[in-house]
Amino acid sequence: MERVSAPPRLGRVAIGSWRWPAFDAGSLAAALPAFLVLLPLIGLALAWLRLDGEIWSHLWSTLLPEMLLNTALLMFGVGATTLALGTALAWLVTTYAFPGSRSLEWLLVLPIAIPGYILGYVSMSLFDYAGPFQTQLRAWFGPDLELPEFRSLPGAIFVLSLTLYPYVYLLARAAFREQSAAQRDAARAAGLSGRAIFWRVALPLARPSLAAGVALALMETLTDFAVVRYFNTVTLSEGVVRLWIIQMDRDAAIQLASLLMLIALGVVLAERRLRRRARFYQLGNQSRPIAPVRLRGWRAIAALAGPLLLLLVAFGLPLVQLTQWAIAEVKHAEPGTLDAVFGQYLFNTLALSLGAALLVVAVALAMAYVVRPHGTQVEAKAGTRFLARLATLGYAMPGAVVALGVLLLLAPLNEAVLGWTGGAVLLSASVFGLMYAYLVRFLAIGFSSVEASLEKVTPNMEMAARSLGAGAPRLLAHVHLPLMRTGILAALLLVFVDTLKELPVTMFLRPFGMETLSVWTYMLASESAWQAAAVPALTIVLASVGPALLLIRLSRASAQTDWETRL
Amino acid sequence: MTPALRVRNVSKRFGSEGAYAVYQASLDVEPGQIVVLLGPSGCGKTTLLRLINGLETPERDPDAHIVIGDRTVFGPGVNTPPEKRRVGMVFQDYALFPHMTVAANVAFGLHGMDKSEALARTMATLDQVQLGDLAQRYPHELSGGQQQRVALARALAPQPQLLLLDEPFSNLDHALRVTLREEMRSVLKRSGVAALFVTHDREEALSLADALAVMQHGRIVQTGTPRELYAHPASPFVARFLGEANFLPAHAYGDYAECMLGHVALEAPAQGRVQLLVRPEALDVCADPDGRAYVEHVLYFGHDQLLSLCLDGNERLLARTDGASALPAGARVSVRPRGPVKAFDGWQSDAVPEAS
Amino acid sequence: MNRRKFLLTPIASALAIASFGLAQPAPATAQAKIVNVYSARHYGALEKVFAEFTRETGIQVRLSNASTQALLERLRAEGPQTPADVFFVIDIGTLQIAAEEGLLQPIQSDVLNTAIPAELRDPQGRWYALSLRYRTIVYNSNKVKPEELSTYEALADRKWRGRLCMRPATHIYTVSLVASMIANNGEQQTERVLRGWMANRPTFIDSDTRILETIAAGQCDVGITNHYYVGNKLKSDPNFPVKVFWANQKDRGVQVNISGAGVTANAPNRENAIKLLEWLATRGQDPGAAGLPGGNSEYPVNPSAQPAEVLKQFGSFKADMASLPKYGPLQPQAIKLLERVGYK
Repeated sequence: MERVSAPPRLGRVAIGSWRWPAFDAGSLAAALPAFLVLLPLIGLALAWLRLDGEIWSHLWSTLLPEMLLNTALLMFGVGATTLALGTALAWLVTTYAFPGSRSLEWLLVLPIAIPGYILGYVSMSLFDYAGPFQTQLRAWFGPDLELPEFRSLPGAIFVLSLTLYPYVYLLARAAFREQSAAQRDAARAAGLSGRAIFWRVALPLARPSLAAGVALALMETLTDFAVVRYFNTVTLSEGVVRLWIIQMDRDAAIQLASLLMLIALGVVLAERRLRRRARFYQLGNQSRPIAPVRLRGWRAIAALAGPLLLLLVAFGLPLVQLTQWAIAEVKHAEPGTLDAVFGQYLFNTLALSLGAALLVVAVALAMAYVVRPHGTQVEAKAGTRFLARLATLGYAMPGAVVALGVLLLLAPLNEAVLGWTGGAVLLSASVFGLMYAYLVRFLAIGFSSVEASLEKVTPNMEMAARSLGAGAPRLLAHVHLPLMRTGILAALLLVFVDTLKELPVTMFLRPFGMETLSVWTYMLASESAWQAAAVPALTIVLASVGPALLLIRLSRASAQTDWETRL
Repeated sequence: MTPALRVRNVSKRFGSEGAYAVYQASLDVEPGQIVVLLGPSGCGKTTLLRLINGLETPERDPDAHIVIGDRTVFGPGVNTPPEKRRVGMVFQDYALFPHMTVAANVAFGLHGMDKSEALARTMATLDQVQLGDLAQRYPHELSGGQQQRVALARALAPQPQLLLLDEPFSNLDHALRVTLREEMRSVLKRSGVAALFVTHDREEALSLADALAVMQHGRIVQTGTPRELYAHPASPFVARFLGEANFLPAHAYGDYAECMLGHVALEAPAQGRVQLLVRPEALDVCADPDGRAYVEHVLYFGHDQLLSLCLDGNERLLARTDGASALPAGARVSVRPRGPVKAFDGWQSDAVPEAS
Repeated sequence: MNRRKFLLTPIASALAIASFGLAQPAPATAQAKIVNVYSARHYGALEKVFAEFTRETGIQVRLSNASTQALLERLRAEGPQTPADVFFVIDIGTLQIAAEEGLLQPIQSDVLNTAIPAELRDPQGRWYALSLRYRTIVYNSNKVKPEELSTYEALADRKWRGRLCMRPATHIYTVSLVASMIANNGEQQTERVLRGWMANRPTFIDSDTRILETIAAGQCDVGITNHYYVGNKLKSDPNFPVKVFWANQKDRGVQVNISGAGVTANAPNRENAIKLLEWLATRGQDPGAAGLPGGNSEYPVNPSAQPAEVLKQFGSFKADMASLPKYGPLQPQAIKLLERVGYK
């Protein structure tokens, strides 16, 4: 049985490798959710069939070159920065021990809890020309001090990298952890220095994980339209929103979205390629874990101070600023108004997030059961696995693309439903459309977590239980549920929080009055009502801290169980 | 007495066009008997187990039925679900429930039984496999051998009429396998359960079985005691699968045949082209400067040795002799079968796949 | 094993929970004392005004906020099924477009016709202005003398290179400002002015408040914002160094825009919607914090209402009322022009 060890999944997205497989009747069952999830994307892809030359030539003569350039620079900038930061920090905490290194290990994940559209506006308020940071510098060094413009592409790269580096960090850390002391000893025996071991052994071995981490960061970068808007950087995602909402040219928006979709697909394929080529690097079992090198004196101080400074900028300061604003806002607000608004929006947000979490996990469960090996199969059929992988593609798609795709798909359906129900039911701006879009976006998260937990229930375990007289209910209650509980809970939590934070899909597809914390935050923040935006923003950040910590626990646990089962 | 298991004319294929994984299999297991189902991997033995425990459904056939004790679990109009068949199972990967203690694993099949009775039964079964003091451990805290004994206890606790064991030792190292085999045999005999044991390891099969059934390409090609099958294989395949064998092309003339060893007596009369089965231990090898063969190389085991002989005309033969006679490589020898040999029709032995 | 049942349960409960949570803000029946408002006005000021309305009339106001453009797009998509009763935006052009597309219905109300001057409402009664705002030039009084300033067009002069703070083209304020320039100067002349602005390499900031703060901090010296942002700043800091300069006083006058509303074509709560509009045009014109213009330092539309206290220091000025009717028709042209000159 061939088993390629994949980078740990962290309950997020498994980007497995796939080839064109043979399809069979069994894979039809898996095809259903996959088809459902892919439909909106297919609809957008069809835009390529009716390419509108006029739109494209107009776009080309106006914003398109700038969008393409900015998108490329942004992706390069965020990719390189998150790669460097994530890898360096992971290497630091896995290779060295110094006072505080154990705490640092999980603290470094925290910035993932602040979505870009929140960190973006908070850091804007802190670091732009009129903000306290530059004002203080001018007070010290004179009013003519020239600093680079913060409201710019580098500013956007700065903000996005600070919230996204934890993806690379988490996966790199797990990868470095998996490497064995024997490999490094062999390298040292071959005469490699510590630095050479990093570059020539540890880094190449971790490459698949690093690629997966950077791919996740790039997907998040592609979906963002808020940060780039704050930072005056017109990108493709921002362009889709601009064409759609501001220029009210939905056709042009669709054409542009189909291009954006292609780029997102490119990221996925590039990551897969990198990983496939790296397969031979996957060595067998871990032997001895690596003993960390103890740092003392100024080295220990530097090793602690650097990451702490990063944490201060990426997490500490924003949190303090948000808290300060939120307190001021609560004090200043008319009694009652804030409670009423906040209460309603919080309720909406929780209801939507819970609904999305349950829906996604339910579909993920159905898919996981269909995809798992049946009968005497050792591995699931290639066809079903391929479809499952395909269904998780939605995660890579920018929110605006998914929203447009769902709208495009529901428009004709909408007409029909309006007809049947005498105009009583509207699909497009309804909970239905919104939930559908969440499903497309987040199925990958739910699926990889649920699938991993279902793998713990081996076919033989089921067979044993049944031969001991357990029927389906007892089998589910006493074998499946206990073993999958953690995975299902993790999936629920992750989807819940991702929905809670989600901005573009919610913004474009929410029904009347369905204001959520994320939309509220963005609308206030984009009007520079920073103090007012702090209340929902802080709520989002605090709600996201728990799952961020859960991620690191999951990655620790999965590394451990892998290790155990290999023994 | 009714057999513990009676399988008749059971077939299974995957996909309507696919080849048969199991074809017209028939098999009996008597109460208290250990029957070993032996065959190379992919021969259909595991599928046959799954047909018996109900995880696969046999092809519809008016003559096909499976009877466990006095209950028909499969037959025309009958197909009992696995959980109602009450057949114990032991697997290669143990398949213990990792979230339950050893005791809870063993008690899993005692669902519905009175609490204290179940506890007593659990402990008694654990004592039977000498794991009473590990009852509160979790599976991952146990060694592989201990885990397999827990799996056995779990399967035995509900006192099934029939126990199915699917290559239970193949995850263990050789030494442990031998001890555990002895232990399992005595546990099974003491509990009096009928067992159907699947393996591809002939040493395991020969030492454990009261009766053997050899499978090839989905068919049961021969059944009988280990001795019968070893001495009187029904085909070159069975012969080769149960032990080392030399096959010599020959011409038979009634009760003797002519081959490269010369004139050889046959067990049973035959005519025309045949191949002769000569077990390595059934050859007499003597140092003889004028012999027609020479020793190519020697594998020395102490109590005996395995000689690779080369006959004139480049035919090779294996011979097993006692370790005392020193025959260096290159020595000329003469070779004779010790007694009458078995002849199979035809020269080609294409029906013999490589044993795994 | 009965997997199907096992899986159906969570799906069903997900849908149930979702629809329960969401059924709640669904459109209400005509009898309910409710009015649903699509609002592009910012959170904060408006809630107080509506709370006052509810207190006086017992009609609940339900708000859905989004940008002016997003609301129009949504209204179009929803067509006659829209749950909205009132379309309340901050741009006259968008109201004109919505009216032309049949998304708003004409209403006849003596209260409204008396309270609002004719040039500030649709002749057919499909929309009504409820407050006035002027988008004008602001400057850092420590660095710029008012004599140096004159018109929007003059900001294209090279002396302002590196000294301008502007709002990006993504905001409707910019679009309507450009529409008013096209209405007065024609497209070619306007393009020249915009290219002149661009040549001065303005700093683009998508927030009028932050533009003021940035001018105060010294990165820019001059910008264009709505007047009330200065008013609101002055409320908290009387010494705020950025001052209002009324643009184009020697020719057409400062650019004017409105916040205004119309009743949607199929409004489920039509009567309540009209009541809301009438209230906003009369009692809601209060100069105090609970008034629609007053709470945000805007000017009232009702001639009988007093402007807020803070606005007195801005003095009197001339406004370009004449081009108001052209914002809607010129909006597409203005968007294309901004795109063409590479405005952010």
